[in-house]
Amino acid sequence: MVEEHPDATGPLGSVSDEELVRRSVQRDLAAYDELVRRYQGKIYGLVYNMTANKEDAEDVVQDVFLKAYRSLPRFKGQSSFYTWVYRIAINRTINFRKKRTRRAALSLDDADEGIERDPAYVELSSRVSPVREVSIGELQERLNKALLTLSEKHRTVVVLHDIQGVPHEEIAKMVGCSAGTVRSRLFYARQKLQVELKDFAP
Amino acid sequence: MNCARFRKSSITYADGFLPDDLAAHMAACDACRAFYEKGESLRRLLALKRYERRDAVRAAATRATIHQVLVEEAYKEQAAPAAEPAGALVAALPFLRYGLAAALVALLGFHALLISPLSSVQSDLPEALTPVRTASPSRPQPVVVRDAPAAAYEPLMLASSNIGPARIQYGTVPSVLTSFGE
Repeated sequence: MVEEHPDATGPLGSVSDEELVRRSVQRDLAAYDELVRRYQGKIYGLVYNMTANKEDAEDVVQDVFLKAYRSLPRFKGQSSFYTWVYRIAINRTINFRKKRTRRAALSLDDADEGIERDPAYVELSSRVSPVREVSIGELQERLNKALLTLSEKHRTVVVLHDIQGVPHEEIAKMVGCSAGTVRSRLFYARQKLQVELKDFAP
Repeated sequence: MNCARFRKSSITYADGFLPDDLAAHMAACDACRAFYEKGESLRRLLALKRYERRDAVRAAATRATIHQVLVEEAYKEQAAPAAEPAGALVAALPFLRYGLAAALVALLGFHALLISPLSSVQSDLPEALTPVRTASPSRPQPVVVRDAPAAAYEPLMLASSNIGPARIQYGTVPSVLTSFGE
């Protein structure tokens, strides 16, 4: 996910997360705005890849940060704010999808043109495979559909690890299980995705 | 190092940066090398999703909405303390009622102590469950339930209903017929 360009000259840009959380608990909305600015891109990426619908993802992101603000007095600081808000996002996304009575259509973000220069895409395109005849949009659609075939817990670890690059130990804190369980879920999820995407990842 | 352990462990490591024991196994095992390369190919494919670009206008709208909702909640929180005294009074009303009822009972008790007992009223109390005769047999018969004899001056309320006549008796002091809100 290409990050939005933050306001590098903002007055709170150099303040630590811990200090921003402390101020936010004191009802300093400017401090909380800074926390939202820092992490909403990553949270959006998680939720978008879990739901494959950009409109739903925006709604859930809004819900996540409102929930996080109201729960700040209960945040004990045992994990980083980043890990804590990710945990909220995972739970809210799973709840959102459970409440959804009908399957939403895929609604995908555009891809940055930098993808065409990515070595992985170039390698895929150079192989004699359906990838060469498939547009970037169709590739995105295939990836999203393949992800949606996974259960919530398996999709979560794939999104966090393979798409967002979060380490196993951090994922374990976010989802509330051991690093070994994260690896097991990732192992199973990849086996399934390899079947779904055998045309693209032979 | 066996194949099962390699396959479970190697997914932790990307781009071929494996620890020595895993690298050694992969060098010696064609099947595990193929497994690892397939996994890497899939991982790179999924990583292409990092190029997906969020709509900047929607992102700004979401941030603005979050901010607006929190500002409105802050205003409501600041306005709430002004209503607290009235709210506290309303919340305290049930306790005020109980307090007033207790004060009324105490006043009536003191009144009973000051008035001479009627000659027709019995002074000794029944020990067990016994119906109490009143001056008007047609009225409901109050029932006294006692586990032990009343101590001297222990107030005892004998009542059959809220609208019938009731008797208040303290220890051996005779009771007085009293009517409640008839």
